[in-house]
Amino acid sequence: CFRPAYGDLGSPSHGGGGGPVAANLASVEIKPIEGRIGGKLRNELIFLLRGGGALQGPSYRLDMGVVQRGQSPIVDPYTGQPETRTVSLLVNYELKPYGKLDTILTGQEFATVSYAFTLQRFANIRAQRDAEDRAATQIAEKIRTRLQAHFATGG
Amino acid sequence: QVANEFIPAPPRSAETSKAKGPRNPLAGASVVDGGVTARRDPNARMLMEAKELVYDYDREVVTAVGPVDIYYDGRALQADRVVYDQKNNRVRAMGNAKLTERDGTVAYADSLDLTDDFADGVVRSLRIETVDRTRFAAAQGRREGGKLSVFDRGVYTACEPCRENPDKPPLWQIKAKRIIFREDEKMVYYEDATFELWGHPIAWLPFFSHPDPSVKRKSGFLAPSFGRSSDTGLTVETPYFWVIAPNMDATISPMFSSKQGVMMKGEFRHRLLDGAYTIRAAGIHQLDPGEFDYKLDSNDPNSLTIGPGDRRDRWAFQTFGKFDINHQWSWGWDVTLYSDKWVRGDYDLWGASRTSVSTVYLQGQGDRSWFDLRAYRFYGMTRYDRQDRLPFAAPVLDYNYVFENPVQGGELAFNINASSLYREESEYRRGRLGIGPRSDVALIGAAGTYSRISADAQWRRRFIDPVGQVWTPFAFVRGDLIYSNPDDDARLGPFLDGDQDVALRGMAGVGLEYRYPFVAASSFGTHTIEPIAQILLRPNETHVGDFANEDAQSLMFDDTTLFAWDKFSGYDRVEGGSRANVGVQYSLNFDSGAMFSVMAGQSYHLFGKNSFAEGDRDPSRTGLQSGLDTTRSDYVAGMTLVPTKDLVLGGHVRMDEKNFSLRAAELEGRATLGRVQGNLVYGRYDKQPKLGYDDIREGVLAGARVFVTKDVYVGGGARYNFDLKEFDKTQIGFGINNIEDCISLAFDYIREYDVDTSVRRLDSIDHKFLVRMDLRTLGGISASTSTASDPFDSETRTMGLASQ
Amino acid sequence: QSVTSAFEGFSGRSNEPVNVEADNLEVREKDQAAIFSGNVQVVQGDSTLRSKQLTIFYYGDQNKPAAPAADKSRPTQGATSGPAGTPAAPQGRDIRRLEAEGNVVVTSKDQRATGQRGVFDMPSNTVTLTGGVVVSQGENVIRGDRLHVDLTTQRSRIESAGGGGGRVQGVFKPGNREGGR
Repeated sequence: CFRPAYGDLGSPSHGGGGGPVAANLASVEIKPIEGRIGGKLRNELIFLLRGGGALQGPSYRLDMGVVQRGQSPIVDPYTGQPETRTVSLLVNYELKPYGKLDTILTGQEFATVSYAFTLQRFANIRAQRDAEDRAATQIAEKIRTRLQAHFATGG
Repeated sequence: QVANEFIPAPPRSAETSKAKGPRNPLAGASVVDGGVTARRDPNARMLMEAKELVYDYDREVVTAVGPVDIYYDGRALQADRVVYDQKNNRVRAMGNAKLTERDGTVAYADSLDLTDDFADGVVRSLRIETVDRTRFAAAQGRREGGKLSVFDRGVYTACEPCRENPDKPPLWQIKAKRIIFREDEKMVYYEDATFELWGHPIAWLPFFSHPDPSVKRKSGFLAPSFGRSSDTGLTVETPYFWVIAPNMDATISPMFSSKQGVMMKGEFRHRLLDGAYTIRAAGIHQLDPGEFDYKLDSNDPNSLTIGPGDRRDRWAFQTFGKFDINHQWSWGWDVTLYSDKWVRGDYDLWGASRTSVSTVYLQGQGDRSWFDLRAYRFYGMTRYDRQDRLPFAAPVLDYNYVFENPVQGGELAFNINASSLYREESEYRRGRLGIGPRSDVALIGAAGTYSRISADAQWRRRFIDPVGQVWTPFAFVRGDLIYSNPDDDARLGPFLDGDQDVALRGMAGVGLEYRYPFVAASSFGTHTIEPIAQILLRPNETHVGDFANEDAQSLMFDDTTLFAWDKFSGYDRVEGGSRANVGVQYSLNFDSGAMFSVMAGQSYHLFGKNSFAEGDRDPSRTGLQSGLDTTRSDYVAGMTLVPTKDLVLGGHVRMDEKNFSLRAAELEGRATLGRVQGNLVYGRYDKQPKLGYDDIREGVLAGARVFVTKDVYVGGGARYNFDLKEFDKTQIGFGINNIEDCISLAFDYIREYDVDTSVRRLDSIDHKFLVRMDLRTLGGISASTSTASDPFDSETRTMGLASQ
Repeated sequence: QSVTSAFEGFSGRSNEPVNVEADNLEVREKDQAAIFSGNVQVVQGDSTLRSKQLTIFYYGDQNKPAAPAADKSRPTQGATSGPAGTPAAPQGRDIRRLEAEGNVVVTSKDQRATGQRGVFDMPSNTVTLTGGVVVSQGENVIRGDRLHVDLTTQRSRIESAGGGGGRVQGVFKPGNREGGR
C-alpha cells in the first residue's frame, strides 16, 4: 500500500531532510549535455534531485540523451504556415554507480508541448524557446519521480 | 649433407610502394595494376605452382601445365597453362585465366599476354569484378605503359549477374566500342557508348566519362536533374563538382530553362580548422517575366503581395557558417538575400521554404549557464507576408546563469534578456478564413521601434519534513526597462497610443510549493501519487497595454504551464496578482523503464488583478479566452505513456471550468514497431474570436512508413483539416533500394494546396511528382516538379547519449 | 651466353673423360658395373655430381652398340681415384648408364639440381632425378617430385608425383632487365 516516499521518520539526513532517499537523490551526478535544452534539463533536474543543496558523494552517475522533434497538426491552407506547432522531447537515461560501468537502471521519458504560430517569425521563435523550456522541465520532473520511486522502494 | 636449401616462398613482398596504389577498378580489366603510380616491389619474386613445369634452359622459357597458380607482388594468377618467357619477360596464360589484383579485383579471361611486371599486355575476352562489386567485360583488353588500359567492345555495369541464367542482361549496363581507363587521371572514358536498361538501349552517348569509383572526391559532372513547371517550362540542371583544395570545393550548376533561359547557380564550401562556411548564389535574367504576371506585385496595402512583377533580373544569395572560438564559445551566421520573395519558390532553390531567417550569433555554454547574443532579419515567403511587416531584431540577448554552490542552502539563478525590434509597417492578426485583416482583432506587430531589457533573479530551496512532506519556498524579483516609439497609423489607435514612451516595470514575488509524494511497490513497478499545491503572492502587473507584445503572444494553458511561476511565454508580459495552482499527479514506473503518468489540476486567481483578464488591454490580446482569464481557471490534465523507447504517446486536454466542455485537446505519438514507423499528431482548439480565431481549429497529421523488405519501403502521410473537411496535404511514396545491388528507385506523389498562386480561392490543388533513380557508382537522376525537402516539415535534432 | 644445363657435362655426346672419386669401389665384372660408395664425386667437363653411392654400367664387348664411326664422343671411364688399394675402374671403357643414390647433387656453373636418386641414361641421352627434386639456376628455383632432362633438346621437365595433388613449385626472379620499365 502507499507510504510517504521520503517517510523515513526521524532518521538524520542532510540539511533539507528527507532521509536516505533524499540523500541518494542528492548524490547523483548528472553528465553535462550539449545544447540549450540539454543545459536547461540538467539545471532543472539538479534542483529537483538536490533541492538547492550541494552534490553529495557522488555515488551515482546519470547519463542522458535527448532527441527533439517538432510537428504541426494544423496548417492554414492559405499561407501554408502552421497555426500551432509541437516541441516533443524523447530522453533516454542510464543510472550507473559512480565510477563503474554496470547499469543500475535505464529508462526513457517523453514530453510534448505545443505553441502558437503566426506570421510574426520573431514571436514564433520566442514561443518555441519557451515551449522547449517547458518540455525540459516536464522531462526533469518525470526523471525525478522515477529515481525517487527507485530509491524509495529499496532500489 | 642435404640438398641445397630451398628458397622459401617469396617473402611477403614488403609493401615498398607507397600506400596501396589507386585502386583501379579497370586494373582488373587491364589485368594488371603495375601502373606507374603503384611502384612494383623490385625484389619481389614470382612463385609458380603447377602440376608440371617444363624449363627450357636455352630459351629460358618455363611452361607450366595443369592448374597453374602464380603469385607475384601481391597478385595471383590462375590458368590452365602458362608460358613464362623469362628472357623477354613475357607471361602468357591460356585457358580460363583468372587474375586477382592486390585490392581484390578479379579478372577472368580466355588468354592473357603480359609483360612479367604486368605493366603491358593484351587480354582476350575478359571479365572483371572489382571490389566495389562493379563489373567489366571486353572482347579484348590492352594495357599500355602501365597507366593506360584500353578495352575494345567493352561493357560496364554495377549490377549483380543473375544467378539462374548468367547471360540475362543486367538491369543496366554501358556498352561501348571502346572503354579507356586513364590511371593517372583516375577517369574512365567511353567512346561510342550506349546505355542499356533492361537490355534495351535507351541512350546513345558518343562520349561519356565518370571518375574511377574508388575516388571519393573528384572534380567532374554530377548527374543531371530535370524539372517541369508552368512558369519555367522544361528545366535541365547539369551540376559540375569542382575540387579546389582538400578543404575547399564548389559546385557550379547552370540550369537551362526552356522559357526563362539560363540560371547560373553556384555553391562554394570551405572547411577550416575551427569551423566551416558555405556561400551559394543563383541568378537569372529572365527571358519572359510575363510568365509570372499572374503573381502581380500590386501595391494596394490590403492586397496580397504576390508576384515579382515585371522584374527581369532575379537572384538569391545565401551564406552560412559556424566557427568554434573554444570548447565553450562559438559564433556563426546564416544570411539570405533575395531579389523578391518568390524567386526561391519559383526556381526551387535549396528546397522550398516559407520562411527564411537570417541571423548572426555568438553563443556560449558553461556548466550551468547559457549565453546567446544575436541579430535577426526575417523573409516571409507566404503570399500574405509583406516584407516591411517583418522586423529587424537586433540585438537579441539571452543569458541564463545558475550558481553552482548553494546560496542560503538553496539555488540562486538569474536571467537577462534584451530584444530590440524595428519594422516599417504594423501587422494585425488576420481573421482566420477571411482574407483581409479584421482590424478589430489584435496587433501582432507594431511599426516603429520597440526595445526592452529585462533582468530577473530567482531563489528556491526544498525542505522535507520528517513525515515526508516536501516544502519548497521560493522568491523572485524582476526589472524591465522598456522604450517604445511606434509609427502612428490610422488603425493603431485601438491597440497602442502612438507616442514615444520609456518606462521601468518591476515585479517581485514570494511563493511556496507543497508536494506530498506517496509510493507503493508492486510486482511489476512502483506507483507514485503526489498532490501538489502552489501559492504565489505578487503585486499587480503594470503598464499593460502601454507597450507592444512581441515575444509573449503564444499562451497555451495546459498541465505544462500550470505550475510555471510566470505563465506568459515571453518577457513582454509579466504575470501579476496572487494565484494558487493545485493538482495531483499519478505515475507508474515499470522496472523495465516503461512509464505511464497522468496529471490534473486547476489554477485560482486569489487577489489583485488577473493579468490574463487584462488581455483586452494587451495589443496582442494575449490571455483572452485562454482559460486563465477567469477567477477559477479551466481544468487541465496531461497524460504520458512510454511503454518502450520505440512507442511514445503524450497528450493534454483543457475543459471549461463551468461546463467541462472541451476547450483544447492535443495528442502526439510516435512508434517504431518492427518494420513499421509511424507518427501521429492531433490538435483541437476552441474558438477564440477575440484573437481572430472564429472557428474551432482542428487538424490531424498521421504518417507511416513500412519496410516491406529490407530494401523496399512504402510510405505515406496525410493531414486532415476539419474546418475544410478535406485533406490539405497528402503524400504517398515508395522506394526500392539496390535492386540487383545497382539501382535504387524512389517515387513520391504530393497533393497539397497551391500556396504560391494569387488565386484566393482554395480550389487550386497542386500535384507534385518526384521520381528519383540512383545508378550505383554513376550517380542519381531525378525528375521532379518540386523539391519538397520534408513535405510535413517536421524537424529532428539529437543531443547527448545516442538515444535511439 | 647460352645457358648450359647442369647436366650438360654428362651428356652422352661429351667426350670429356668422367673422373670419379669415392671412398671405396667395387667392381662387378659379370654385371659390367662398378659401384662407388662413400661421398662419391664425379667430374666431367665443368659439371660435377656428388652422391652417397654411384653405380656405373659399362658396355660389355658383346652388347656395345654400333656407334657411328664419326661419333667418337662417348663418355669413357677416366681416371678413378680412391683410397689407396682400391681396385681401379677399368680405364677407357664406354659408360652405358650411371645410377646415383642418396643425396644426389649435380652442379655446373650457376646451376644446381638435387634429389635422392639420379639415373643418367647415355643411349637416350636423358637424365631422370627423383625424390624431392630441387633445381636452381641463378635466382630461379623449381621444386618437384620428378625431374626429367632431355639433353638433346636441352629441355627439362619437372613433374609432381602425379596421382595425388602433388604440385611442382617454381620461384623466378622476373624483370632482371636493366632499368625496369
